[in-house]
Amino acid sequence: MVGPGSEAIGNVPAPMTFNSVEYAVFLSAVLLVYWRLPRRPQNLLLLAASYVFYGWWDVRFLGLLVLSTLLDWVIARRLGATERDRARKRWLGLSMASNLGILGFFKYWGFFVESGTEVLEALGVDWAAPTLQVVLPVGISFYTFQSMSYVIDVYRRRIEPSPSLVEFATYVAFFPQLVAGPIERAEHLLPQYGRARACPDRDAVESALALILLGLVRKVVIADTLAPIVADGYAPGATGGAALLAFYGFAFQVYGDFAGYSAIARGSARLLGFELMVNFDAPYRSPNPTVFWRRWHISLSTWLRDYLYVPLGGNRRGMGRQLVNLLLVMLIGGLWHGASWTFVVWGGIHGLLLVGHRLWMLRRPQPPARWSHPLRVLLMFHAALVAWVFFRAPSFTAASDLFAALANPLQGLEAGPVALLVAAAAASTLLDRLVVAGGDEAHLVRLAPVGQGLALGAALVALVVYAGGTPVPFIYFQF
Amino acid sequence: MRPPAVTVEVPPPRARRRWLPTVLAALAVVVGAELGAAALGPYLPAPDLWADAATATKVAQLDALGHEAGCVDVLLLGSSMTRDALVPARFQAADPSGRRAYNAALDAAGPVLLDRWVRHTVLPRVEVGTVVIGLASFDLNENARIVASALEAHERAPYSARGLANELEAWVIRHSALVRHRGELRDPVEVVRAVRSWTEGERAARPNPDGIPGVLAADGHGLSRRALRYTGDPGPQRFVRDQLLNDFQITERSQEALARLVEGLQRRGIDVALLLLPVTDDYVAQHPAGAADQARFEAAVAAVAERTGAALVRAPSLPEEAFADTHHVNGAGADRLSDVLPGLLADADVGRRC
Repeated sequence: MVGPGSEAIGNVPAPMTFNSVEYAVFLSAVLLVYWRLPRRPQNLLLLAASYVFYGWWDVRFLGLLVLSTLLDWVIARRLGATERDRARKRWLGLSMASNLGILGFFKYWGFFVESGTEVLEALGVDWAAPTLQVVLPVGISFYTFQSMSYVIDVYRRRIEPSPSLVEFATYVAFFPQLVAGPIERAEHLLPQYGRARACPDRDAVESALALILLGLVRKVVIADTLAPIVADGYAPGATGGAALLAFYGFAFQVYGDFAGYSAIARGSARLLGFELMVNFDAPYRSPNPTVFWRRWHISLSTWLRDYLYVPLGGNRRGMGRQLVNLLLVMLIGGLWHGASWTFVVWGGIHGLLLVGHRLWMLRRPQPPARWSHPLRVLLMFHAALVAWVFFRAPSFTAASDLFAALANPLQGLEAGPVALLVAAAAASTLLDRLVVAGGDEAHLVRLAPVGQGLALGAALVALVVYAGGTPVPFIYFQF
Repeated sequence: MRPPAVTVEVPPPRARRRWLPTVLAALAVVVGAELGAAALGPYLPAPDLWADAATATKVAQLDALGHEAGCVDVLLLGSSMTRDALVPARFQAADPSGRRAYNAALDAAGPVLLDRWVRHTVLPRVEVGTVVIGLASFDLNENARIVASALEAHERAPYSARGLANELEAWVIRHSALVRHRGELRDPVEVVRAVRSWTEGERAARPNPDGIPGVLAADGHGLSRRALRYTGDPGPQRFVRDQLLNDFQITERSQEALARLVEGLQRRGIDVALLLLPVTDDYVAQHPAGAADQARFEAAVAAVAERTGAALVRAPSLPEEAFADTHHVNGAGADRLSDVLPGLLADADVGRRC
């Protein structure tokens, strides 16, 4: 598997990316027709547009998306129609088995077969594993989790099953967030398809465009600038200096890439009259792992909390069980990202950090001194950096090579990449400070008119300078 | 009697956002950045606007030719083989009527690339009387890797890429220093260096008509192989086998591309000669079918010449000492070919002046 940030997403062709001219034309065309239609045809148009968007990459995998949608819609309807617990459990089990079966086959088949073979070989068993070349459908982890949460919520009677197949199918396939989230909850997004949508007013359009512009700056200016620097550091035989830059650079690359995607998704959705959840809230300003996971990929961390941690017992069954649950959830969260043990280790490190923080809080329940806040932020940031190495490295060998190279951090350190990294990190921090208020990036539109103009001008200049060439796919598309 | 008072609920006045300060501030930033880029531009490294530095230099030379004379009697076209083999200054000296020549050959340029290069870049800059197209077997090899990658680079370069979006981008690049220099502005070290050069008044080098020292002469001919001599090294042979003659195949399509190039020139009233360039025996031996493939190539060129009415000219064979490698001639070989070319063209009855 190719590591994140490389030119291609694995060995598969890239879908229509938000940072491409194709997407700008596509979104404009959809908007042009969309706001001339009444609600029901609007939903139909959104569904058709979402399938075109997904089929742009590979039309064959539309079948998978449609199958997953039909299954969960029918199962949820059955769940809503019966009161018998055993039947309800059976339907829920069928939904979980089919969703996880599809996900497991397309995403984890090779991983499990390879791992199983290695274990058997270690035990001295010679087993010829069946090999299949399975192409990973873009966004499968995201839409599967979204669809599963709907069925679980219907099972828990938190929501009613959707009577409209079109509305549910659009909820699963909604193109702004189909391939990389935010992973929306049915109770938040689904009712929005049933309501009449007013054409966004000027404030909504302004804030939507601000979100899209900010997302593009995060992606094109910050993440894509850092991508080659990070790739150099993870290349075999990289110098200590290159490794050091990659060590720090990837944190800002992956944040710019993913937060940029989420912002463009939210902006695009807002132009269509929908509100998507905030996915990032200045995560590198977190003083501890618990806060970090409240601010990083919020839609996934809350999904894992609500649909995995809580059902496992959460913190209701004693401290020991709580710590085990935390670790288990983070290990599974790691594996959700990619079919590789490096992702599991990434999740494991975060799990251990959460466990450690929980134990520390037990020993020292009083709030820490204010003066220590910057130190704790710095410490948490570096702990996240260590974990990111396993997320980015294509193998454990590559990860250990990077750590080994870090022993000589000044070797071959070049001024150009250092300056770029510092500039990118500063820009990322400035964006967090300037435009994020409680996770709401649209705060930018509340600046004074001249301040807005200066920010807009700076963003345009930055995009002019840093755009161009073939659009780099988003890192999270591979998940 | 006074009418009863009517209470009308008036919605609170909507706070009107002031657009003008926002737009003006944004505009000020963009204009400031554009002016800054324009001021710093001459001190930044040359932007990559063409496929390579040699192409950029040839464009500068063609621009200069266009300004000076506006016309070239004999234009020499082809790949690096032609670039190294024909010296325009020697041609002019050997030509009884002293026709002016220019070597517009490009690295690894096959007929498709040459067609685009001539139509979009050369002919809009200078008038041409006669075109001599130097050819070797790999030019017609449908699968030649190096020819494909040169064409790809040409199609990707901002100033030679075609299509509405690319041409729009090229227009913006021509008119905006910020866009033109964006590649260099992304590198903070280059920016600092440029600011320092600005204060010292030292402009950065740009492609210019004088050529590239040791690589390209002012008349467009190649200098890098003049002093070399082929010694039968296996390296160049392997390169020929893997990059030029790989999966050797002359198809209808490759002949059609050459014919299209010739006919396009003829439609503009330009005389065309197809020149079969000399190669070493080692080069011929690298074809999958050896001399039979070389013969197939020569027959294909002859067929195109017959179909289009272009003159077919065969350059004299040269001894191995006249080669820099398996197929490029060295200085001695280039001088010899350039000296005999006027006579060959006269024999073929081509040589219209512009």
